[in-house]
Amino acid sequence: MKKPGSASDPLWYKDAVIYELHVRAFFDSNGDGVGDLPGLTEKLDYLEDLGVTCVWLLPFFPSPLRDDGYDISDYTNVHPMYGTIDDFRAFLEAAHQRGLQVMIELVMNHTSDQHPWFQRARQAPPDSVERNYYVWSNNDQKYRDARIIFTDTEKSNWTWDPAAQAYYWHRFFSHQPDLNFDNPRVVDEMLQVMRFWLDLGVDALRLDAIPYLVERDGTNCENLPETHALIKRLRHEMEEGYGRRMILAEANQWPADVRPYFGEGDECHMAFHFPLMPRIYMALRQEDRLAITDIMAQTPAIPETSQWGLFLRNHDELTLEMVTNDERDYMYLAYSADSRMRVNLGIRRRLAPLLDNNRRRIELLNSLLFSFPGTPILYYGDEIGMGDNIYLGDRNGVRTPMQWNGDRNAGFSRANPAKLYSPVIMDPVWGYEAVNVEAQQGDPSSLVNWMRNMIALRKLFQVFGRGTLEFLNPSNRKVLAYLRRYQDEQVLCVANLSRFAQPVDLDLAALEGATPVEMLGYVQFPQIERQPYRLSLGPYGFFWLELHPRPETTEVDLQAELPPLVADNWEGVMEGFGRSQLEALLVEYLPKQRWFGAKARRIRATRILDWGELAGSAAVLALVETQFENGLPDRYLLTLAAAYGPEAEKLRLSAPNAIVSAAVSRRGRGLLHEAVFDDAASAALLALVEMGGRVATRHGAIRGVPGAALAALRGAPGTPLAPKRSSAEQSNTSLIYGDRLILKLYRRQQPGPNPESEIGKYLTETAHFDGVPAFAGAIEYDPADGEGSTLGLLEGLVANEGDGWTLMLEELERYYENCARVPVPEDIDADGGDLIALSEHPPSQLAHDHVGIALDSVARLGKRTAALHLALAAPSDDPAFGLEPMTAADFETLAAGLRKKAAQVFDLLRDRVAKLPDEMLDLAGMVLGRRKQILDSFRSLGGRNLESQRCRVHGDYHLGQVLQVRTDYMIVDFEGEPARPLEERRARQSPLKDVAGMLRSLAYAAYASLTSYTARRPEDFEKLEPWARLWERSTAAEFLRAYRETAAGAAFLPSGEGGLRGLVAIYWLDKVLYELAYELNNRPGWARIPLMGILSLPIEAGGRGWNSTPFRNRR
Amino acid sequence: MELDSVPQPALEQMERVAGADLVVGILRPGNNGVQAGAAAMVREAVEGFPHPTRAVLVVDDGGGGAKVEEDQSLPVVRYKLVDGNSPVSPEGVYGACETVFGIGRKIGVRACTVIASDLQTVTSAWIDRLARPALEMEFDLVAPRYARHKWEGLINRSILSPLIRALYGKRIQNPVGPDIGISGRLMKALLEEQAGPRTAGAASPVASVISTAARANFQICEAEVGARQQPPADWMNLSTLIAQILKPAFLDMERCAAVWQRVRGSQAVPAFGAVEPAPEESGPVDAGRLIDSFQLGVKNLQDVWGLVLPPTVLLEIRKLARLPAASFRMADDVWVSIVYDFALAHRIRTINREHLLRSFTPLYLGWIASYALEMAAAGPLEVEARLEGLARAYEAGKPYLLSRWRWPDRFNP
Repeated sequence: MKKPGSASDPLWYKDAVIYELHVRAFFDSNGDGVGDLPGLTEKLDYLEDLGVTCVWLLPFFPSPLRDDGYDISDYTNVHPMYGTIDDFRAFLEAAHQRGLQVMIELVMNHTSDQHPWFQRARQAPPDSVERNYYVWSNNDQKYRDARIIFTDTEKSNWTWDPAAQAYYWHRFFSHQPDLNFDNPRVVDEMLQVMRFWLDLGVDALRLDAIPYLVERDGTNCENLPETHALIKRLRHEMEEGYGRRMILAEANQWPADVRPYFGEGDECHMAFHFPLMPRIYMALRQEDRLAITDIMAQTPAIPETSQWGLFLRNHDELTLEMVTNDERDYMYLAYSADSRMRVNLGIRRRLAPLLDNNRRRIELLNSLLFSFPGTPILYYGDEIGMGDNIYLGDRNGVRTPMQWNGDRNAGFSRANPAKLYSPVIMDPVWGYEAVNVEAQQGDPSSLVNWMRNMIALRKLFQVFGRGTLEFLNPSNRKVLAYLRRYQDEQVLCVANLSRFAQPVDLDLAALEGATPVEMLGYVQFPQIERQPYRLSLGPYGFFWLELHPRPETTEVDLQAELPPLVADNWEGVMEGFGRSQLEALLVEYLPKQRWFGAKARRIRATRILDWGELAGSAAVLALVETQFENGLPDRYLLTLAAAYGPEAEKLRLSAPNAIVSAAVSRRGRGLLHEAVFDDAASAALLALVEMGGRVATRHGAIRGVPGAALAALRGAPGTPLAPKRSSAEQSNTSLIYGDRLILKLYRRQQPGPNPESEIGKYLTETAHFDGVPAFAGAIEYDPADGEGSTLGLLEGLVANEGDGWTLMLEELERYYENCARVPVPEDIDADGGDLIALSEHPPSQLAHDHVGIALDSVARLGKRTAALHLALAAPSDDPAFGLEPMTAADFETLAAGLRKKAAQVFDLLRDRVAKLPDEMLDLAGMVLGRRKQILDSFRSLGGRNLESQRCRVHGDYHLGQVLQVRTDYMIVDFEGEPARPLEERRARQSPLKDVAGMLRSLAYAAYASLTSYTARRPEDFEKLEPWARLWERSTAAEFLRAYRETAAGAAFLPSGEGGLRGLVAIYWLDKVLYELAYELNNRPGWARIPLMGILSLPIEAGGRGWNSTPFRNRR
Repeated sequence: MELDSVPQPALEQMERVAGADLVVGILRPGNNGVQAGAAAMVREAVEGFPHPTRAVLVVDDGGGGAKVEEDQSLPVVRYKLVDGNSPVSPEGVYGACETVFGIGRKIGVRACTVIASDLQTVTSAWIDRLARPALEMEFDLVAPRYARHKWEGLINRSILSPLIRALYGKRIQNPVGPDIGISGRLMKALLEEQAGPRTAGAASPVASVISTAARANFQICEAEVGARQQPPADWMNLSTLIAQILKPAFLDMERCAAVWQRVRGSQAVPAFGAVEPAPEESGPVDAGRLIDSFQLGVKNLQDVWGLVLPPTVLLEIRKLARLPAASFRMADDVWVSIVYDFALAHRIRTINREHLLRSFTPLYLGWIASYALEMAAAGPLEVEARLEGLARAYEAGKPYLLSRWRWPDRFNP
């Protein structure tokens, strides 16, 4: 009957910690001086407590024991010295009960010469099936290119057999004839052997000496294709018949040569990484990481399901086959002062003696073993720092009895010491009385306890067994630093290979924001920044640092990370159990919204202030307060609806950013999302305005207010106006109904009349100005206490060719395309005089020739702008409109206000300068250097009487706020700068603020387009920059000329030219600083343009003031 | 659970009902040992489901057979769920739950509900609320929320609930039921873990329900079920009760260390149903007797606690023992440290595990005394705030647990 293996994960070997032992050496249960399987079973509790997960047994099969059991005479039985096959079954059962896996040896390459197969073969006739179980030759010249492995004992790979009258082939000892895998019967026999042990429940097989399975003349008889075919067959048979088992390849080869033993995941699951081991010792002795990083660089990638087996020591010598001659000589000198320590091409010593019994070195090497990519393999006794006996022959010095306690025979056996298979270690330093399990278990600071803790820690993190490896390259080569990554686990390992303390600076900029947490003690280290991360390590010290990602940058998968809101009804969500959860969710949700205006501020909490259900839909409108870590709270309008089933899936794909939370209700699992993505909710919003409806909220009401023009704009009653969400979302959200209406929902709410709604209504219904979209209605919020606010504005939808910004950029692209082919005229800056003066004349011929059509366009814009201001300045009964004078005190207040805002922008720039792209640092530094000069310039405005009047203005006027409608412009978006207080946005101001805004916008367009145009060839920027200046200057002058012509005589224009220049200049400066603040908060990569704008102002002390300079030649 | 030795009649019953959607296990007899009300309750709950649902009732067949009305609409499986009258004990409930899960798996249901509370307070709404999220909303675990007064469920409130919240980041009032609803796939996962090697299967599937759910990202919710009839406190066998509750919890911590050590912070889970008023309190708690027991423990168990607790905590305990009753207050961080240190000592087998768990009792009585004195005049909101503070202390102390767990050096502050 087949018994299953004990592992549940098919990749269990990747997370395993393997413990290699010899049954003979572990524990003797019957007092015969030899360890046995019942003894091993008795000691399983020790292994379980140590934390290892897989026990690897060296050969325990019947054998003459001339090669420590690797000379097998019966593959499917247990050597009587070690017990019986039933003892093995009991051991296996006990190990599995403890969750341990068991690996045994499958010595395929050769048998003992005492094996019945060999005895039969030597008697069988030549070329018979029986004879051909082994490899025979009439002479010893075949396969001459194959090296001799055991150079100390063997002179040839052929040995004469007098019975067979032929030579037989052996890669190892002469008493170990190689099996002939060209004989299908041999393959079948070996498959039977494999099935026998797997049927018992054995979890893994170590394939001994597999490179040598097949021989071919003219080759070195290693790693041949036929060998790989054989291993594939073996693996196939294993996969077919058994689940969750593993094959480990012993192939002492270079990593590139071992790689084929993994196949494409269809040969061995694991293979030893032989060359790494000596290089770890080399790096330690040389105090230089190079040996390790070098061999790892030569290590090829392996299939996903494959794994390296790593070890510091094993039952053989520390093999030096996979090093250069110089390296081998170095290793001999460094680690085997006594020649008796050497055997074959290696050093026969245990871990602790190799490291001069230095505890720190032992811990350091184990830390590397446990943290390198692969499965660690411990050799029995090394966990307590056992010594060796170099006076015993061959490799027996590292195979002495396990030292359990200080009693006779180290607690290994009750036998007469003379009966032991090997003497126990007895010297004063390494002897069992000084080094044993019992003593160390009672000593909390012992090596075995340290090992137990390290193993337990490693097992907590799959990254060690499964993760990728990336070396860091700190300048101090005594320090080895590497990153391991697996799924969401990231670990930084740093090891000091030196016997002295070492500092190290690590470049961890890519991990900026992560917090390292030392894994052994769960100690939080300082957060990683862009600067090199500095660590100091004690002698042979090491750190394992778990990297916790910065919380706020963690991608929040709402479905995976957050519990769903229970959305059975809105009462429960907004007032009941869900309320605090929703408020917590909004802390994450709001900053991700384009319309959220305080991205530079960190939200501490949110609070639902009021809410009401929107009739005709399953949505709610809510007012939410955002509380910040610093400063006053803000208030936002939120629309919420729930979606389930296919509707939810559709939303998840089309608008993931609009999902507030996962939700559940009796309708099933779904999403809570912005209601503007719900057609019914969008239609209900329109109906609310049309019907002049009312929504009762918890603390007030929301009402729809239809405008006088609504009926005409809407068209025939009952005509369906399908809602559509506008893609041009910025600080608000817009819904388009058919091709007739647009509803703008104001997200950031400020108590008081909304300027846009107010101006739109005034211009449509009072001034009858046709240069703005017609006012069609509004949604107003009236709280029970306090001042209300406007939640939404409904306007007529304007059919247009595009906004001024887009059209101007298109025009500029053509402009630069043309100019790039033309040499820069010498007189290109001839028009570089004062802008106000320039605007008194038509554009130059040069400007006409090159800027051309854009001049006509800005002239129309100038006229339209002036007409707007004239309409707003017209006498009115409405106290919010009409003109009022600007006094000297007003200018004083204006100057002080602008200066204060400018100072805040400079502070912001100072705080953000380190986060700007490198190429902007110089620009930012120069701008900061002008702080005093610029702030002083605002003072020059104060106290002057410019004999001017003021009226309501647009307030946030730029090219993006005008739509081209046939040959003219329509002005939109009278909301003002949303970041500024409502009172300020509603205040009467000089219309020249709008003029300055448009002048800045033209400059912005010229340089944004130039930056874009030269993105692929940045060297062209300088070449084309004169053309940008020409365009900016000539369009600005033409805009201003048209504006002044249309508004000539208006009371809002200062009477003198100086006044006009002064006001325009100061608003221009205010605007450019506003742009800078905006870009720093939202698009740092764009800060270059306002920075250049500020720097284009000349540095002039005394004499001319700022009031004239912005419009002079900037060269 | 493999149900290897299913009696033939029970096996036939299970085979007859194969393909059902829901199994409901009723562990305790109602009035006079009659479970007749159970069948009616299950029928009523199932009839209220929006989709046709085939349910199976599992009742205890011990003690001479349960009296249950059976008809074609509700097959009944009779099976030995409990030994004698032991379902009151946590071990009994855990074992019975495991059996019901096993039956559910054998039948192949989509969800399973276990009612372990006394039927006197159970209504069909309990079954509805515990079953429906698993049947219809893809939840895998439905934990109960009870209306309770301030002296009820104190082991859960002071240890299990805040401990599990800190470990797995799930704020659940009653993480181990005893009334519970689970999905078929969670049931399968729990039973497969039980069938694993000795070390993996040592904890009860009920004690492992949150860790298993957290590990595989199963969906968890809570359901308000109202007040439950609490079994009377058995002060004489408190140590046994504590051991039966803590042992599986600590074993589960050991098994799932790799899971909970990655969890930071905590979140509420969705809750269904309306909150019902708490039952009347049973009267004041005699803190004096509790303090006496605590002081006796301080006198007699110093040597044991000395192996488990760090010196700073031992010092606090000693100082606490000297305080007069009026000012007897155990700080949350001290209590949390005690619980965490006991969990660690259990893991590394500092002393025999049974002895360890029994030595915990006087400390627990000390906590109750402190809580009783503090909350004597408190209303429900103050009690909830107090317990929320305790839960936060568990979360705040998690780094301490992590550092001790990862490097269990006795030489610590």
